Amino acid sequence: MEKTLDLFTVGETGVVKRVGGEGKIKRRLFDMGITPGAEVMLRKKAPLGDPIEITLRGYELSLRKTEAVCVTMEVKE
Amino acid sequence: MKKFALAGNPNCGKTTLFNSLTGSTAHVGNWPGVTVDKREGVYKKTPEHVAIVDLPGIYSLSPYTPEEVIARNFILDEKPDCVINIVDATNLERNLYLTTQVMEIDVPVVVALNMMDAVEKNGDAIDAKELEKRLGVPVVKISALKGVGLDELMQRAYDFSSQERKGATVLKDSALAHLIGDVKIALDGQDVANPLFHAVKLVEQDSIEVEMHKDTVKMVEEFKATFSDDVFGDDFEALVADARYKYISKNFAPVLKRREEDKFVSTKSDKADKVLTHKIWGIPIFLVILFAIFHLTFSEDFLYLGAIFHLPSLEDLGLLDADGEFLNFGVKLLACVYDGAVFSPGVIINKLWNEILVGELFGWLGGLVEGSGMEAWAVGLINNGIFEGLAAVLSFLPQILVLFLFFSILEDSGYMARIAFILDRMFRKFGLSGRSFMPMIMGFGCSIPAMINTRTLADEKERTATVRVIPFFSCGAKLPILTAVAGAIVVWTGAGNADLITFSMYLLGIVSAILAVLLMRNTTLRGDTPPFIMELPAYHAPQFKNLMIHLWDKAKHFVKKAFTIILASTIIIWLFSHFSFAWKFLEDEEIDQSILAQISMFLQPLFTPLGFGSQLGANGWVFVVAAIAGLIAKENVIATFSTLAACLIAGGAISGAGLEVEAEDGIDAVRAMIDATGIGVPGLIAFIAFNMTTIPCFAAVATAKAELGTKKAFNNTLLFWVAASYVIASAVYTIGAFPWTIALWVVAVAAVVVCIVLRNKNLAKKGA
Amino acid sequence: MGVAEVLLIIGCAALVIGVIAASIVRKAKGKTSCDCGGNCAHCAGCSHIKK
Repeated sequence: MEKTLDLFTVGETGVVKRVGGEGKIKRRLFDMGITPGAEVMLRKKAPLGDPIEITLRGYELSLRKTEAVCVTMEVKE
Repeated sequence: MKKFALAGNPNCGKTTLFNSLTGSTAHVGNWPGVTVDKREGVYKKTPEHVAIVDLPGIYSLSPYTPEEVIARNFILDEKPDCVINIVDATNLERNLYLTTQVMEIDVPVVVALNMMDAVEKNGDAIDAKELEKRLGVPVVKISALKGVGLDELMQRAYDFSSQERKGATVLKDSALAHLIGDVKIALDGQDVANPLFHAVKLVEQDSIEVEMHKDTVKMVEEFKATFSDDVFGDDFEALVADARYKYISKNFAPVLKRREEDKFVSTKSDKADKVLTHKIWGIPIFLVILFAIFHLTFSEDFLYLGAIFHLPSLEDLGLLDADGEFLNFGVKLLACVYDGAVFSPGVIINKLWNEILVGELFGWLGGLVEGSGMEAWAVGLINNGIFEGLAAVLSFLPQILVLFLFFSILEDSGYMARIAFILDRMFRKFGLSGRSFMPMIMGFGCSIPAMINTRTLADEKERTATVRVIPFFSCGAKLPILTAVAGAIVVWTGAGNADLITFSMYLLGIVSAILAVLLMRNTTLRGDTPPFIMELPAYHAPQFKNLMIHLWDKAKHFVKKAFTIILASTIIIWLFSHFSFAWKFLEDEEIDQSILAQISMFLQPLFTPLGFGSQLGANGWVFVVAAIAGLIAKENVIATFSTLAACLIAGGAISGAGLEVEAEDGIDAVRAMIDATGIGVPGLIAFIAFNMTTIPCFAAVATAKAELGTKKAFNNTLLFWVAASYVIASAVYTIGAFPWTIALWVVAVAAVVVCIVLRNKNLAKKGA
Repeated sequence: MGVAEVLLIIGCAALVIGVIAASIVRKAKGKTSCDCGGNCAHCAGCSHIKK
């Protein structure tokens, strides 16, 4: 199943399929390791549900939902 | 002398390594982006000394943030003899991403695998030999924190630096390999240095490169027209980044042998995190921690034990003699810890320092001067001018250090970055990212490093707004104003709570900052909210050595300042308060004819709406003098009070009955001011508010000027500070003194808000 | 006015002039005052030169 990263629930895991978004944000996401094939787990959500914290490539990264929308994921069952 | 550059991701231990190598004490923290400018030191254990340059932490050599550009330009233009690329071994893949870019430059590169101790503690292992073979450059395991492997690292870097090295890329297998090769040949033909690096960046259509090689970029565009990838289309930047990570996952990541197969295993750090960034409790916990810090530092009633158990005061216990003096030295010591309530640790340290050390010392020195037979004016200058000023400033040193210690612990442990995470949602409402929280919180220490740290913010408008409100986060030097005035209010009215007043003044600063940002982001600094994509570092216990270094630096700096600029200022103030315009020496009684008093009286009406202007009568000018002296350094405010209070009492302008303005106590100085002027509590609070939000010290103004770039932005910033402090202080005063004026303020604020909203709607319509 | 007073005046004047001179020299070098505790060579604040 495919959905964007912002729709993930806490503890859900998936693999990055596509990264979209405007140049600067997209580049930043890439630089931080969010590239197709990367495995990502949604670790937690901040108070009020935004931003979110994910684990990927063995470290923790926080990003906003507006940025997570740019990341399309293949959900792992 | 050879020159080595340290490059690596933010928070990978670069600065710790730099400190270990050069024996320096640069500021280290546990959140990304502590180092924002390059700095230099010298390593002395190699046969020939080596200059070490610490570059800002970066994730990539892209042109999007100022630090990335600084690091990139340094490596390309200054041509270091070797780049030591520090790689956080606990976070191998992402750190090697930068390595693959650095390796494209024609410079010797040595990879330092840092935090190997942490990796081994997890039960994991890294095969450094294998990694070295696959990367093609030397790889050395180190632990910067424990000082392991540093000499080997430097020896290998030193040996390697004398060799020529041509750039190598991991993009050989990608779809763009041919294009990169062609562009490289073209650049080679133009005698461009580092052709491979520039070729790759040009293929990525990096804005800096496109600007530099306008002709060659056509090659890329032509190729692009014929090219299409299934996933990326013709987005070369994405393709390159993806190819790098693919290569890393396939070829480099396997050198890491994990003990646990589960990638998402839960650690101690996670457990702490669960509580500290809890969905509901995260923000309350943060507020409690903040309050606890202030309570531990400032409270004269620790844990409110005194209030709860109605503990007896020393007087009740019969430990004071008829004059209210302590019976013996033991009681004096006891009074530093307990008097009707147990004091908090910060207060205890402060009292010990002041009563036992500084007070005795200056008391003794003052006696010597009086007994020396010098002329009266000389005794006055030394005792009332120099000693009073010095002691008033030094008396706050312990509390500043205690507060600073707590902030260092928050920063070192990694909690600061989490605060940014939990507060981001709120900050966004004001048009900032959670990241701008970091420089703001640094502002509690000192505005200057905080302003410099705003370089981690990519958005120029966000930066300007942040620089402007940083002084509202009351710095260490403004603390004495807070404690002295709050203390005086408590002693004078016999009610209230010094730590509560201090805490709420800090809050006032924060609220003012938020409102000011909101205002600016909706009017002069409109723009989109900047992105918030930030690494959250692992928690770790604060390093004792690191904390002590922070404290020592702070103390040294503070004392140095007290004996130079502040001492000089107090002398000048004393001079101007004892000479008239006719250059005639004035006795203490005639202080109101002095140059200082005359100028301040002239300016006094300006401060009437703020509660410390004309309504204060003949001696009211002292507040104006203090506020002006504060423009040089904020420590001057209380130093000025002490100097002037001593003169006023000596001159008989105020009785000083029951008051002994002693060298060690800024609180008594403020009380003398209250007696002399009859200023009320609202005026005093407004005075604090004014000093907190007005133009900061001279040094901070200079920094703001440098950081803001354009002259126009700087001038507007000065104007903003004057206007903001005037409005905030007059609001505080009028509402405090005449509560009904709150209605006027509400109406005024509402009118401004409506105007802005309407205007922005209009603009939006025009834009659409 | 005795020797002590003269020394006092000289001392004060030297301090004031020294502080002003030092700040002018720092400014000429493009340095700003900062939190590094005088450890300027390694301090981002001190070594910050506007480009």
